[in-house]
Amino acid sequence: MAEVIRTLILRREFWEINLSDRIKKIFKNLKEKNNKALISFSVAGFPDDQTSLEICKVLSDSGVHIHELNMPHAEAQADGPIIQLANIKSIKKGINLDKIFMIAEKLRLHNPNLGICLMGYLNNIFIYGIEKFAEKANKAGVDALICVDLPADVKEEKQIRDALKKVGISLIKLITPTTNENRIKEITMDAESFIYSVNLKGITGVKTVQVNEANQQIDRIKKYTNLPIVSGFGIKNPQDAKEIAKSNCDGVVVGSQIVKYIQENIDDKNLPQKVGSYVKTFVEVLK
Amino acid sequence: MTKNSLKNGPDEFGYYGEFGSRYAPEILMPNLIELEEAFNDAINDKKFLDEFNYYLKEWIGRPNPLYYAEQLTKKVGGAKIYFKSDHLNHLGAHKGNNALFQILLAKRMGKKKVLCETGAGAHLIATAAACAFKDLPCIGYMGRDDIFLQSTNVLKAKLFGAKVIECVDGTGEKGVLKDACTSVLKAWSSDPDAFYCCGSAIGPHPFPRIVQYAQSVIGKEIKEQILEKEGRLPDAICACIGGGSNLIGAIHEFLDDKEVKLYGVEPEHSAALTNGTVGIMQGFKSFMLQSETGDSTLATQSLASGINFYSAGPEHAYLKKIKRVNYTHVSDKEAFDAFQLVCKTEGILIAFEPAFAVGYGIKLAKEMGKDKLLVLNICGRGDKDIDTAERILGDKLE
Ligand SMILES: Cc1ncc(COP(=O)(O)O)c(C=O)c1O
Repeated sequence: MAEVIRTLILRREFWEINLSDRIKKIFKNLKEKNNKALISFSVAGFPDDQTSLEICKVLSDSGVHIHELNMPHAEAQADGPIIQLANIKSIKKGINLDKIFMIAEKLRLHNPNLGICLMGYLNNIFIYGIEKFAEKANKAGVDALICVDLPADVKEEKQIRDALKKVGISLIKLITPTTNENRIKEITMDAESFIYSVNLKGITGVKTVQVNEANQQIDRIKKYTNLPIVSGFGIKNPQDAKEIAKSNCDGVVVGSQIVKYIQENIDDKNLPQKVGSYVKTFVEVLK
Repeated sequence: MTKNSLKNGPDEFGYYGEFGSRYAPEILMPNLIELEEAFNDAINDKKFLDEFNYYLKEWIGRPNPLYYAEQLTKKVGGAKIYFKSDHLNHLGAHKGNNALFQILLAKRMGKKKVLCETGAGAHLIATAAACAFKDLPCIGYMGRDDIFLQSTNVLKAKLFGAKVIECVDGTGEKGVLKDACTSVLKAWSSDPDAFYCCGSAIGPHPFPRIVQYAQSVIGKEIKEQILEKEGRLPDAICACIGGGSNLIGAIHEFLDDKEVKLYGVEPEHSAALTNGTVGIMQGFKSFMLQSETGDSTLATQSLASGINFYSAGPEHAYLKKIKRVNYTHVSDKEAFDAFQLVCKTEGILIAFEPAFAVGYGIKLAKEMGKDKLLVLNICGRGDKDIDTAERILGDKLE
């Protein structure tokens, strides 16, 4: 018994019961129905503030379970040309964190059940102020943060984790094909809400996922954690999503494809609705 | 290791004070740790160091002279000016010291492919050449604007067998050193088995430390040579700074010699250490010329591509913070005048980059008085810049 409690404490699940109840509930409900989560992604402020909000709303109406709202950064190290271009266009139109919190807040009002996850790079948060970021994100109804360039080695990782913990927001950890067993063990110990399994060696929106490798990685992670695992990078069509969903993962992320679809239909008057119908084709295959 | 020495390098997480570390995506973290371990192992291996020193001597041509620039000294009328002559290295710049070291390390690690970024192309040709003689394929990432400005270096790199990939920012409007840095980090993420040979004292830990280690040969030679010629340490050392490799190489050996004043000179319109704010991009924390929200870099400009950079290495950020090094800047015009002056007085065609060090060094020498010794780090030769010089001078060259 003592051993069980010790491992539970080590895994932090024990004392982090309160962290992002909403995301917990999402995965619990899906598990009961034997379904997988669809996690969508869009760039805040692209093509403009209002439209990007409308897109988020329509996505949440289309059956997406969690939405990743990207905080643009021009030198986005893990992003390919599709997301990078959207980032820069959004930056040129004057996006900033206050505006992003406004979008998140309105999305939260629109849908109380959607998991809202901010995603981006440390510098935006560092410059804004870590405590202030956590507070504002909480007020806006954000559930989680994915920060790409925030490994456990750097001082700000603990600062951000602690600041977010105070307000019940989870810091999501990424595991990639280069992450060895030891690191997986360490990373999963610190993880909260869910694990983001990066499917391939590379940046967003370029390579196509190799289903077998992606699934093997999920099994590798499962050995060390009971947290839900979502599988992302390289999922280019509903068929890919369907194949990935057959694995032990708990959710599938569609990112660059949505941004690319937005870019391709940027002049369409019904852009948000079109994006919604497009994403529905992913939702359908996961049912 | 001496306690409290400024020469001890970063802490175990790669921090110099609050600066540096490795703000990298998880995909690169195992690579960075592997590299750090391989580096620490290599610098404790006498055979490896002997090999490095052998090629520094036989291939790069070190030690190069600490040259008394007598005519320039007379013309300026102040401190006695010495040139540390890395422009005489094989490959024409200090970049070869570092490229040689890292390519020997890559070979020792059993790597099969090398990636590098470049500004002026000096690091590209150095890496390409080292890869050629160590039989490794080399892929260089270079900004589109720099490819245009430094076409002879691109040609040389290709002759050495390198593949050169053109980089632009996200919109495709511009392409400079910063864009090459982002591109090569992405390429490395996509091909993590490759070796990334970083060209300056920037990037995620352990790169700033590795580059400093390899370039410190410059300062070690300066110390030996000045003691031999003058029987004492110099009063000041001055070098240009982009990412900061030639500067850290020239001064590292002197960091604990508090009587030696140290100067780093940036271009006026990319003076990150004077005008920047603390930020985190491209894997490290340092002073940066960045937007108010930290979501992008500011556009920079310089006559010298190699030092046209929005930031500077983390060790420099630390040395600025503790006020050990004076960071300053000069204008393109001052640098170009210095470039011409060195041509006319000394018959030496220096690169545009060290012309910034000379531009400031001239002012400094005047303030210093005739009994003082000033070392200027001439980190590269100017063959690569003559097309631009011609464009600027036009008819005046007649
Ligand atoms: C001749 C020369 N000097 C200086 C530099 C600047 O780099 P660093 O500040 O790393 O010495 C370069 C970079 O390309 C260069 O080519």
